[in-house]
Amino acid sequence: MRTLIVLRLLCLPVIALFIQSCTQLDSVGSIDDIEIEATYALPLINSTTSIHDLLETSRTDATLLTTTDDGTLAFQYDASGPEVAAADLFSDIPDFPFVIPAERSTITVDIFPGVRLEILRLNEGTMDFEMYSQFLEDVDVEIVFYQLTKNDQPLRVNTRIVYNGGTRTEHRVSGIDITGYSLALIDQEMSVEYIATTVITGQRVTLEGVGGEGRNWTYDYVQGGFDRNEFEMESDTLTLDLFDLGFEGSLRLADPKLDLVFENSFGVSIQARIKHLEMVNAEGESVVLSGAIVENGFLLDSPALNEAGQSKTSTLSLNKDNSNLVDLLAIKPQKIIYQLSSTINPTNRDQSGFITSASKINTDIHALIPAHGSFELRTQQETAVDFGQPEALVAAEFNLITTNEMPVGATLQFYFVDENNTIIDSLFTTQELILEAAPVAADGFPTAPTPLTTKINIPSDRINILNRSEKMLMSLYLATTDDGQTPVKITSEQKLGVKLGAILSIEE
Amino acid sequence: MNTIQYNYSILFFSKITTLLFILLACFATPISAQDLGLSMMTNLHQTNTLNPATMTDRKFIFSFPGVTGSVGSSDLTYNKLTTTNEAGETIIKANDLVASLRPQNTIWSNTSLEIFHLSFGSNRWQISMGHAIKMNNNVTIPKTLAQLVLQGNEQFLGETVNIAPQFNMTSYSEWSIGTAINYGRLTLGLRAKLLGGLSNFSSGNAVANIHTNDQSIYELTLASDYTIRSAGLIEITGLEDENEEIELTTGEIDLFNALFGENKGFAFDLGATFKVSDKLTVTGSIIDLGKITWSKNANTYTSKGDYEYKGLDVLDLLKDEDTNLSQIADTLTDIFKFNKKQDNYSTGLTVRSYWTANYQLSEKFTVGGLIHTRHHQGTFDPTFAVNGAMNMGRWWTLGAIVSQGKSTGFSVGVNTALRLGPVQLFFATDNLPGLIKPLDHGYAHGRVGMNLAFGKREA
Repeated sequence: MRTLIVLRLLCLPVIALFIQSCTQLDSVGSIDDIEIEATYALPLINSTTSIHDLLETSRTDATLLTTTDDGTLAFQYDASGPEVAAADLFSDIPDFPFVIPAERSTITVDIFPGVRLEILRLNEGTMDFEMYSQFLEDVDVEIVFYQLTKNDQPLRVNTRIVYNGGTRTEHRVSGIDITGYSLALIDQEMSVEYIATTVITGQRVTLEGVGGEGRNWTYDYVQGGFDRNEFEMESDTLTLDLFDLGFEGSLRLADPKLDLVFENSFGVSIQARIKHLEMVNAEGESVVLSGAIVENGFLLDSPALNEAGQSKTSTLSLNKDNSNLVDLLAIKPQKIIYQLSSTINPTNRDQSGFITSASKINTDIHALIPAHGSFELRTQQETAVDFGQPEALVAAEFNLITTNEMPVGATLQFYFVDENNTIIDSLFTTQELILEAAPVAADGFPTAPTPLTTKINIPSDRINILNRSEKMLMSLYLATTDDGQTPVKITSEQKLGVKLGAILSIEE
Repeated sequence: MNTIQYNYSILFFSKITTLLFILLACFATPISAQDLGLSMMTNLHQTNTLNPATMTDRKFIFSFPGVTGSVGSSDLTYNKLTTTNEAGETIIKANDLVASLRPQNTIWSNTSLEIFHLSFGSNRWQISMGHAIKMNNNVTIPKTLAQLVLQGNEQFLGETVNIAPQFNMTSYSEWSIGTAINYGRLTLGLRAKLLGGLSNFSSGNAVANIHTNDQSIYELTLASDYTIRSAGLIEITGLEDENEEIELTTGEIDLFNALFGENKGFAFDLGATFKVSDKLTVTGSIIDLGKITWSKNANTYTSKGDYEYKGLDVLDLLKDEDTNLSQIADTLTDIFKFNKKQDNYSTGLTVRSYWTANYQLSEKFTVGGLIHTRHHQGTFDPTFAVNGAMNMGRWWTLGAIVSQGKSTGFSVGVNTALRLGPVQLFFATDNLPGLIKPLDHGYAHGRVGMNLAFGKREA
């Protein structure tokens, strides 16, 4: 009995102790938050990129040439220009009637305006004939065109006029196919002979009337003396997107080129001329091409008489020496508008030439803009920002290390703009140099990479201001070496090293 | 307009922290308990579990199922870590938490379910046998890991720090049979243990060095040689695939497995007592000398290599219209990839030793001293203690113990045993304040049990 009492007395305080213990443990689950004050040092960006790699991400329409003659990077814009075909310049051959007044006659052939025909090679066509016989019997007739030949054989047409019982017999022959025949003319004339023989008596006779008509002639080849003839080609436009980045400022390209390439299969002397060429920028400002090349024109290379079917390529190159091309590109154009004209036989010389049915002039335009020159350009661009957890970041310090092999430097400023479009703070006190242009030698090529370290400190009092921003306004200034005063050359191998690290202080 | 988003989730190394949270969650439930007070309760048979040479004053003892539980940490207490803010909310200040950490911080818990214990013998010898299911968990977190995650790496500029946590969660079934033989003043004891591993989730190599360059833009260099092992009822998924969440799952256990386990192991306990004089007795024991070989469902996950993270390529940023810096976190997560390999492995038990001296001041009062050590995964954890015990008659013993341990700090414990005829009831704690106010103390321990004891052994 005493033992039980002792037991109870012992158990009571033990139970009391553990009740308190259990009560305490109940609150373990009610931790509401963890306060963190942390500072993290992180590498954000680390890359070494060639200018070629950077440009490939810019989605330009230009073809990036990795090398020009001296290795300078170049942007090339290519487009096909207008085309002129023989059919555009010369009309179809009309049907032409002719009379053969005597057994041997000469017929004038003037069927190709602007061309004093020497040779006409027919692609296709027919001839019709009409004859009248006064003889009271059948008459055999053979008409021979000695200058209209095929495989060195003249065209011969044989027919019989069958007497019809009257005093005069009319006879027609239609659709004589002359496909593939060549007509060789002397002084635009051809000789024709017909031989009429009576069938019964066998006497050679002269008919009362013989004539004919060439129908539906199309040519394969025309040779002769071409008259002087000026024609215009359609106006065309080449778009340039190189200057679409919205930069303002001055640009001076040292050695741009604009090539107009003509592919000519006309066998005649043709002089091409730039009737009009202007470059227009985003603001609508334009500059018109001028210079000796514009006034003088340019004689296209043509295939010789024994080169029918071939094409000859000629290039009209505009450069800083023969035109004001540098001035045109200085306005940072977005498009080139141009129209060409040409003159056949510009000197009106009496000289044989040729065309074929497939003769044409194709034009291509190539704008070659080497990255050689000087510039100082600036832009301002807006970017929306969302800092995600603005209350967590209390301070930040960035360490930007650039190693620049390019002869282009940059200064940068970020302005932070609130919802009322009011600038509430800026990243730097002034436009900050973040990329120093590499120095260049006399030839314009950089001599050594230039390192630069920039510290960007954003203390806690400014973080709150930045967190209120809804937009960032980036002000970027780019300039070649010596603040845009020295012409430089950029190659695709020049590299830009960018390292960015951050120390971020977080409280949450 | 491009949109730039800043995401601070980059600041958390998700794989490691997820793993850490899983480990800490596992410690909501119950290394090996110290049982300092028990080791001094020489009138209890349970003392024999700590020294196989210990013979009590009864020839036949049967112990009913009992439980021992302890949980501790390196000075970390709930109330030290938490505070109340102005809004009345309970919060943890990460800086205070880090400041209270040691270079290595071990959180441990042990539970031992002693199913039965039986001993019998004569005046000179004793045979004992028993069965228990034991769960020993510990995780050691380097302070550097907490510093890195909660305070950031800026404080480690130019330094290399190892942030790898170490852990071991083991449960196993233990069948034991032992003997003690008395040679006058000297008694020697030996016990053999057949172990059946139930589950293991543990770290092997534990190197995860991180270096932050202070000369440039804070480039990170990571070197890992980290091994995670799982076996038995525990399976972990998601480690080898960065796109999967890490999950720890446990299989179902049947009675046979609970009794014998499927992963075999073997261990010894050695002990001795020496009666220097009628009043002074010294004892010594080394227990749990052994290991378990894990073969059932055994997997090893290894992350090994050196990696350098220098930042994102600017071309990638230019190509992406929406720039999100969480890509950095993805990259860092990718670095800690684990390769899985199915292979057997072994884990050693936590080896403990007890060295005591007891001096009987009078018929009622006894005083003593204790040195206790634990060895596991290269760690050495000693504790020093002094105790006093008072016999309140033949049926009631009351004791108190004061200890200072490397992992437990300063502790004050009490213990008592009642003998009601053949029935023995006992309770012991090595840190009473830890039980009363668990939120103010980093160490709590308790043991309660009941024995049936017959036949008084002659001195």
